[in-house]
Amino acid sequence: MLRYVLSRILSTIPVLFGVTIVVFLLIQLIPGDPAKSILGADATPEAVEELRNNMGLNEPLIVQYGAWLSQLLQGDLGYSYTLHTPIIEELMPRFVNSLILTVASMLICVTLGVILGLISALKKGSFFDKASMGVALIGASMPVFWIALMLMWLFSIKLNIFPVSGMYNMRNPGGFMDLLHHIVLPAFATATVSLAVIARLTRSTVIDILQKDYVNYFHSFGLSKSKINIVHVMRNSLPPIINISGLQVGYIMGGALFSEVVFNWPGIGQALYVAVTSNDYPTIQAGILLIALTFVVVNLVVDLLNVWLSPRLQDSIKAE
Amino acid sequence: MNVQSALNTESLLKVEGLSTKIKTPEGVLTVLEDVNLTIEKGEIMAIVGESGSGKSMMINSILQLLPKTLLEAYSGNIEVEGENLFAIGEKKMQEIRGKKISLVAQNAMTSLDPSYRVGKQIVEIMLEKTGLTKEQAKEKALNLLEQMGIDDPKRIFQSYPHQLSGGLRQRVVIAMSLACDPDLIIADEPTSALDPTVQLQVLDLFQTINQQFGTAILMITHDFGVVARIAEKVAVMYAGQIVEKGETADVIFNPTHPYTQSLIKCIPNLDWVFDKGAGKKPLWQIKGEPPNLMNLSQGCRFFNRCHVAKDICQSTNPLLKTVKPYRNEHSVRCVLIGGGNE
Repeated sequence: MLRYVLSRILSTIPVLFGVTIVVFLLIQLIPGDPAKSILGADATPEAVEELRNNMGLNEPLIVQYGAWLSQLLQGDLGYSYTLHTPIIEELMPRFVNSLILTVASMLICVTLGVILGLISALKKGSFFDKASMGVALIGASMPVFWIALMLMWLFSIKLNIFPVSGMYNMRNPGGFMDLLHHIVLPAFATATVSLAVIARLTRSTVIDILQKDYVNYFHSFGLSKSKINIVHVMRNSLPPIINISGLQVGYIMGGALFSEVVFNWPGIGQALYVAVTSNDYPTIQAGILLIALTFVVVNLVVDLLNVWLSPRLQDSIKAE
Repeated sequence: MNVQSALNTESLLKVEGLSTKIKTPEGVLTVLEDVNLTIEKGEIMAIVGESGSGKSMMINSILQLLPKTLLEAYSGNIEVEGENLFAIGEKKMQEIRGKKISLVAQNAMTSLDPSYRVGKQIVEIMLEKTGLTKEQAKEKALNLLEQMGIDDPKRIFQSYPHQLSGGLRQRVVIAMSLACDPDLIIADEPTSALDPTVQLQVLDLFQTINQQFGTAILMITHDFGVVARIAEKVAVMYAGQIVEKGETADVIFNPTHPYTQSLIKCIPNLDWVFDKGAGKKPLWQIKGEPPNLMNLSQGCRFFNRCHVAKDICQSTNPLLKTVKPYRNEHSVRCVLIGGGNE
């Protein structure tokens, strides 16, 4: 078992390596010259050329990649041209803020999604089922930035229940409760699509499990229905739900980019948005890399959870 | 001992004139019609019939497991020790399930939850249905597994279903059905998914259970071999009706309904297997298909496939008639057979 966990962890290394290549090449494809954007529009061609030489931008790609990678391996994400600070100092606190938003969104979409899906499945064909699945279909089809704007318009501007933007109240920093007050709208905006996806998947999984022979068999013993639903139906529905939830982490981090911009949430998405508009390549690279790293870690956790939850998988691993 | 148990006039299970109607997209379907059965304490009875003859509907009706979305209506009576199941309400019905009547599932491969150790699943039932503590339940489960002829009950107790062979799983399912000491076990084709050698072992196990615990057994099967080996009484079902019932020996050696006769003729014996002209002499088959329950004629349901059918069969709905009265009653649903209506 331990060997499997180790090998699974080691197997993320080639993936991460691949991610660095893709991220590096992606940046090369973006039009624009970092040297020009540093020196401004009025810089002379000679000055630009000199800066390009100094930055190593005239070296062959493979050399540039090698230099960047060796920096990365030493934990150095590079230096931001525009902010004039080491990127890690700028990005890490923002990364934490993004994680807070992601975790909040995940909590919302997993709990609500599973509850909605479960009730819909148990009351299949009822009004609740039809209504919530209809809403889920609409929810799954709405773009995040639009939902974000609509939520802001309704709850902040019209109803004035939640703050329009930011993470804390600047004038009156209020700790956790203040954070909670600020996070509701961006978290819901980010979670909507995933909530719909999880609800729909939970519903179909639970309906599938409800028809299994063993569920009927336990009913024939006159055990309480709710207990069977929790102990047997939910337990066996977990693996697909965990899988899809893991995938949603990636989607939510992507969606958080939009809601961070709309709600002015000081996260990595907002930083990336600024970096992209100002051609700050090292920051873009570092940001994408951090998000990709999170995604890889989450997938690893999901895989290990699945093994932990499935006696069959454990046996096939032992047999290897 | 009170008067009632001393007199002991009540049958364990009494099904009287049971008809079950279910809803389908095409309309209401009568899947069981006028079913009469009596099972005494400690008796082994078999129900024989091909797929779609209503055997499984019988189980679902007795245990009242048909989902509300499917069930149209029951009529008739089902009594367990004198209590009418249609009158007692869901709460009392839950008490009867598992404790009075339990089920041995048809497919042991899929009837155990793949996510839990099998011992835990047996214990789960005991904990909810009986007053046993966790330790007592575990001990009882281990005992049961041992009584099922399992050599190392501790290892099996700790195993997941996928780690067990088909025969072992079937034994676990049988142990599970005995978890709350039921008076009646309904076994739904318990041997059809097993190897022939294991089939015999499992059948013998049922017989042992019957003798040791005094548990009555209602065995649902399509195999007359199973019937001959363990059942005392047998009912033959066709298209939702009982067409013949009686003592096993009477029905097997003196099959009276044309359908029963055909079924028994379908069983290949060694004379046929070793017949030099076997290639030229096909095995007896029943021509045609069972009738569509959706559009039944008013006559005999076996009319189209019957080898002795006469005109009267098409127009007259046959009733169950007693051909041999008294204790070991033998009755048949065929207009061509003489005798009094039941």
